[in-house]
Amino acid sequence: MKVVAEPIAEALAPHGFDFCPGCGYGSVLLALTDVVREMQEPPVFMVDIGCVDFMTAHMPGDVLMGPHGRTSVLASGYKRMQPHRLVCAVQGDGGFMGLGAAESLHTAARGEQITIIVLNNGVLADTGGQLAATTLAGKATSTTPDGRGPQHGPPLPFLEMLSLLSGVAFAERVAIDSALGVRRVRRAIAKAFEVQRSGAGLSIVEVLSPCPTHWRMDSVQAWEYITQSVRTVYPTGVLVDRTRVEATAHDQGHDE
Amino acid sequence: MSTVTSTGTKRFASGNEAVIDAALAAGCHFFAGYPVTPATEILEAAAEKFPANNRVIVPTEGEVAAIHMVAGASLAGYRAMTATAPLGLSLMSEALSFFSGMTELPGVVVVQQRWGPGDGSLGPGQDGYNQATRGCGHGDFKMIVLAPKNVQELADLTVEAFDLADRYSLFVLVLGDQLLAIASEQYVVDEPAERPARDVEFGRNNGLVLPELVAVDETAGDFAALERVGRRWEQKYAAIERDEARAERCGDPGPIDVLIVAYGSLARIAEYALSQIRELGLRVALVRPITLWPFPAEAVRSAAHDSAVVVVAELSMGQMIDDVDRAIGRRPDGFVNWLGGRAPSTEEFAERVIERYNELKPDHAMKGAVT
Repeated sequence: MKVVAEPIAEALAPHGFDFCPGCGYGSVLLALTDVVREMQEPPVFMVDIGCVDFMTAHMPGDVLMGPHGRTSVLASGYKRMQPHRLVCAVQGDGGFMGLGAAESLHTAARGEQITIIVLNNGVLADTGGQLAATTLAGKATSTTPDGRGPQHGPPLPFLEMLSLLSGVAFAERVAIDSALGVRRVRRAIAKAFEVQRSGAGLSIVEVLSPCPTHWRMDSVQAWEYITQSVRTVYPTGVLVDRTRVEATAHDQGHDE
Repeated sequence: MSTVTSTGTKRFASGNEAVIDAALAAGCHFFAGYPVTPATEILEAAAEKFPANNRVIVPTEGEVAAIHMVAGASLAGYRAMTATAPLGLSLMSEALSFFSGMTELPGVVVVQQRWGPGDGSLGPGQDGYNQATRGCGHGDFKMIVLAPKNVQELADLTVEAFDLADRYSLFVLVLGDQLLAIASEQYVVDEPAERPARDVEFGRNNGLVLPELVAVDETAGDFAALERVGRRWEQKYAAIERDEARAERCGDPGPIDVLIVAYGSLARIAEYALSQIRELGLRVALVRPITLWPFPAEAVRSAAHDSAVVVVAELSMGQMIDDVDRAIGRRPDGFVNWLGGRAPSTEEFAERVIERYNELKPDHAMKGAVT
């Protein structure tokens, strides 16, 4: 069997993960840690509230946790005054596309020179799996026990909306539904930081991440749900790339 | 003490413009804001003067973004500020709870009060008192609140707000009002000063800037560790209450017939009204809180001790009066107020105080009209 990812000891410190079994957030954290450990100076991280805040203790760099949904503007304020540092906001779909949609939208419109990693698990997971802006039509949640209906509107294509803005230099959606998918998360994050270094504008990586706990599935079913359902509504791939920055050498030659 | 003495250039402009001159003098390098009457000209002055002085200004999509950008800039080590009205302060409250209360970042917010709930009035008010002095957001936290009475003091206290914010690692509110915002007066501020970034100690791998929280595992319910953090905050606020409370007393020395308690623009009106009240034969003084939090309870108590009657004056239904109550240990004898965004003339102010005095002391009622 081919090993696609090794646990990284520093990412596990100071104590074990708080993520549920089958959660994709640990994979994102490992990918991020792997990218960062090749940097001379790690980025500064601003982490949102939600299940993402379980990542704060493990971030491979300095971290500040901010109010729910506002992390992108917090990160922008820092970056404006420390333009030579890499700055990364890590948010969930609830904060980024729901509560903080206005801040996210205008951060993108201004083309802030930061990287945003959005972990999209389609529910407000930290509070127990309620309806989110990203919940698929028909999907039952604790606040839509009969499934998301027409009265709730369709899931929000937020990354597509942001991709229309010239301030967004790079936007890619990746999915944790296979070993290859996990590898692509790493590659997309590396590319996003390269874009930030180039000063081209905002770089965003949206990660479709399984939440077996609140989807009421086992881990394998959750991966399948992403492949068969989530990706039909939220297609993966590069939505926009206004740069000519190549992926880092480390990534070249892998897959695809 | 009332004001810091500046040695810089003499200028003549509105209070709102003076705020930005003061911010530049204080070495503020970052401003983010959203327009709201009566604080809009502060944002506009920043847009004019910040780039010219090699500083950063961001006109944001709203108050929420503005205060978060200010927090981000502060985390980057620079003096940073915004300006708004109580309406905008409502929107900023969440962030202030996070960044002043929890993360303990320094920052300054100038709040120019207009009266009323909701959209309210465009005229002056003092009904943002409770909002500002009680820690406007959720949770146990306080911010230092400074209340200038004129444009010079608005400038001086804006400079001092940055020093206090750095000293105690919290946000300082400069609580003005619509009159202070638009009044044009002569003032003196120092020349713009550069201020290098301070070192910010992040807690590496801890999720929070607070070093105590490094080892806290919330999910394991380490409430004892969190209580230690709470105790430290409690001590910090107690130290501020002990060391920073400030008031100014003017008028007749004790014993007196009437003590007026007022702050901000209304205190200035009260100060001018003192002579008109005195002409009718009353011995009168004014005690003016300069810090609203911490409230200068001792200064108010000792001033009230020498007075037959204590009258509180506010442009609200009565907010500071509760702090005066606590300071003097009883309900103040009289309360005069104006609502709707209207401030009194000095004559009207004097008449209302005398009216109240006559009701309270019919045996010593003052006759005659205020001239």
